[in-house]
Amino acid sequence: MDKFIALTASGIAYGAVLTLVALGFLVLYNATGIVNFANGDLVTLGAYVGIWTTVDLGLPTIPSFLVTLALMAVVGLVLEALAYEPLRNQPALVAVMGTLAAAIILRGVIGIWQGSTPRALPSPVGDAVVHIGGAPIAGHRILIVVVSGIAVCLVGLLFTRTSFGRQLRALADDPTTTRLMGVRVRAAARISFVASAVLAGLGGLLIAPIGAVDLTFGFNLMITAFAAAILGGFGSLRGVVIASFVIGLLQALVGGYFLVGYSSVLGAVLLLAVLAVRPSGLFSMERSRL
Amino acid sequence: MFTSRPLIAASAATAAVILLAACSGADGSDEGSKAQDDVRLAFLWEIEGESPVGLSDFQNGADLAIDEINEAGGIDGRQVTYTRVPASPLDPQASTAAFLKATNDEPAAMVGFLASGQAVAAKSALDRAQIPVIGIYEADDAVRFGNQGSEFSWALNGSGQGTSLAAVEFMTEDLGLTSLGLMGTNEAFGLGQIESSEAALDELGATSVGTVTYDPTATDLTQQVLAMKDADGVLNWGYPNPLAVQLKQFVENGLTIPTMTGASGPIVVNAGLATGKAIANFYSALPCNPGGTESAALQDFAAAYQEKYDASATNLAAQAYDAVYVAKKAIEEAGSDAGADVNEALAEISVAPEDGIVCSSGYQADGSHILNHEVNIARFHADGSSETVSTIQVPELPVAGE
Amino acid sequence: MLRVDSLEVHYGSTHAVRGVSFELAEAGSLALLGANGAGKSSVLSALSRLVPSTGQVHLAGEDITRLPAERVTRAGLIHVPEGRRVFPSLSVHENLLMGLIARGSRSAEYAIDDVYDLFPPLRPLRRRSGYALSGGEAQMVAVGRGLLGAPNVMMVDEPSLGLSPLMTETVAEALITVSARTSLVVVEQNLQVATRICSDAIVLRAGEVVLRGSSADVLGSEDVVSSYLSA
Ligand SMILES: Nc1ncnc2c1ncn2[C@@H]1O[C@H](COP(=O)(O)OP(=O)(O)O)[C@@H](O)[C@H]1O
Ligand SMILES: [Mg+2]
Repeated sequence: MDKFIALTASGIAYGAVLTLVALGFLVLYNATGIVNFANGDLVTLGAYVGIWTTVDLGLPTIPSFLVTLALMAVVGLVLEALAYEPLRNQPALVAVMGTLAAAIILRGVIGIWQGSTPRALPSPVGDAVVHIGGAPIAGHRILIVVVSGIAVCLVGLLFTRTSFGRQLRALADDPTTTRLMGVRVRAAARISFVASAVLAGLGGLLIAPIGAVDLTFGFNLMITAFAAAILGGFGSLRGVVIASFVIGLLQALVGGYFLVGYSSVLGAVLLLAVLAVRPSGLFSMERSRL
Repeated sequence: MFTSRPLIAASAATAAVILLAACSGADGSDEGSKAQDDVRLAFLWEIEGESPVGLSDFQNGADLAIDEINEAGGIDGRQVTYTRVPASPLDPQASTAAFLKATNDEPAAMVGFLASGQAVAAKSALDRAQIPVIGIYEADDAVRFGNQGSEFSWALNGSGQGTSLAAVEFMTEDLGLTSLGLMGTNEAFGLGQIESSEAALDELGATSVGTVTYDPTATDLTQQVLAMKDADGVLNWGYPNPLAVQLKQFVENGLTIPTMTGASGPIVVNAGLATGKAIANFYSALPCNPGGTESAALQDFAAAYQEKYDASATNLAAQAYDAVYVAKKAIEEAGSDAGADVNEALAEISVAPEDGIVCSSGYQADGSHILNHEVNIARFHADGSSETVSTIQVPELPVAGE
Repeated sequence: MLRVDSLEVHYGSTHAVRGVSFELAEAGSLALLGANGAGKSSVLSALSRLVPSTGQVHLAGEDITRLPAERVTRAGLIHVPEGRRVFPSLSVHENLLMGLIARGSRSAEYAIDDVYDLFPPLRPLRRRSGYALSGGEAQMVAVGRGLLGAPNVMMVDEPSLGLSPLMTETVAEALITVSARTSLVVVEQNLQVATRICSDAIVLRAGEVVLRGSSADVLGSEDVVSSYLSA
């Protein structure tokens, strides 16, 4: 039983972080029609900036989080201006390649800034351990779930309660008609680059204290989050949240009981299985942009 | 005049990529002064800033050796100079080009290649150039002479098998553990080390209570840690990040059993990836441990290094230092600075502490072209310090396939 | 209010609009008539800058020829596109709110409540998603959304297409009400509806203006009938 609780807790914590990164994909895809493959390196950057503000500058937790997220917002703006804006009238594939190039450059820059030795970000809750039903759960994992939960609720409110959220959903439905409404598409793209960079940065900040940060830190998370975004239909907030937790729990439980060591491929396997049964998955996502 | 923005952006991006490539490219080599009667060496590694994985430890350690050698009169009375050509351990193909560039100078020997894959990729170039290369990596099966290793490639460190054997021997015999759990990454490094650890357990008449693997980028090892609950000790062959995750999750789960790893250990501790209780029962099987040594020579090296670079000497720096002394001894024994002669001498030499080395009690090539046959077991303490608790001799390996 | 000079649209080798010019007075209303494929929608899309074109367009004396689509809309030239294009995942109310974006600081004839007054059937549907609307309901949302943008000129493409006679009547009545205060361009296949809403009309054939005049004159002309028969 306590094994089940421990695995479930780890699945939920992982699902929570996946949700953040997957939402970054979703927001940006809705606004621009492209998939941003720099997302993983933004996660890495968020973690390193967090280390810089916390460890190197010695800021307390909350200011360091805020400074990190603000810097990530700036990075989002720069990314939009350099990697997306010049390519946005090109076919979507070209713009996606632009994000890949941005990812490579970003990784190079981080490497030159931070070097190759992995670094650690201490958890704001230290080594606290909470016992639930006899299973030890790291306090940091609970922090992850709480902070991600708040972030997801904020994104949900942004989507449903604000003009920007409406514009974003309108863009996802029908970008041409959205322009006819007078929506400044460039501004929407900027804001969503900012939002997705901030979400990625938050994901990086939250997951970093669990292990250590190096240059490949965000990559695997990005791939799994991408799977979650596709599974969730790439359109709806709810779909993406559900898919992220399904993948998180699947990896933890199926991986924990049957396939120890290979759980990280389960998300991809589930993705392939769903696409095989419903091949319209990816295709319908492209259609929704027309 | 109408210029398309996409074009500008594309060229800017291309320029940026080229710029980055140039930084890490094979063109930024340092050249020492070249006099005809100097003994020439070449180093094949990057320094910090040349690429995301560049570290200056190797160059610093080697520089220290060169300075000492020249101050003491050089090799057979001739000054030693060197060329350094950046070669990325992540890019074996480019390493061949780096090697070829380094041959322009006709060095007597080269030191470098930080991954066995580089030496394997450059095999035919080495065979043709007939210049020996002393690599600083743990020799895997592929790079052994007799497999895909060149007659001219030598591994300063021991073999992965030797590391596993020493680790298991220490856990079972010195610590007296009987139920060991095995962990490792689910790719070549982890799986190879798990396999050789299992062989070592067999050989020493012990068994494992379970083997679990994980993704090199894993950030959650709950499953794996729970699988280790019945073990009284764990060997974890992983990279620093997941190793730190494991150590922290052991603490969360109240597991205080010892964890043994390989070269990732000092990185975990020195970079503070895991601290306090998490590293209180943590061991590492290493070719060299300058941080926690009883050896006066190694302590002197560490002090000189600290003085010159204002940084602690790592095992990587100490190995590069030793490799230069191995090259020196080989050139002296050959009585020539022709690569082929030096290579012949390398097969026969025995390098001892009085020859200047600090990491090992002796380097001697075996049939597989592995030079070191000694493994140090470092024990870390909660405050981040370490001590060498055992030095274990491991058997030589014959020519692969014999 | 709106002046269009020598408008040309090409789609690759298709020359869809050929030298179309017209002028629309303040609170004037103009029907754009013509057979399927005559180029009516292309004229509207060119004016709202959804498709590239050459020629000059002035709105309230301001040259808007080179503005991007969103700025044309914000300048008050509002296009209610063919097929309504209601956002399927937004509710009726949210669709209407999208109309407000174009308004900027211009004073508007219609507030949201006025739109619900103009189209009472929309009131109970406020929360219904766009994809669940009937054609008539969607057309009311599309027109209402356009009105909320405070149009100087509103261009409505095929408002009656696919609607029942009763629904067509509701929409036509609403547009007649609107035309009292707002300049309108209406593209219609239904001649009766178009000429009831608009005081003037032009007829396009193969991208060219072949007839222009008051609605009554155009409706009485033999040419109109023939232009509808021969596409
Ligand atoms: N996006 C387009 N690409 C290519 N040809 C088009 C496009 N839109 C319209 N056309 C062509 O332009 C001509 C005019 O079309 P349109 O303006 O839609 O006519 P109408 O609205 O009067 O029915 C037609 O021949 C049509 O096939
Ligand atoms: Mg039409």
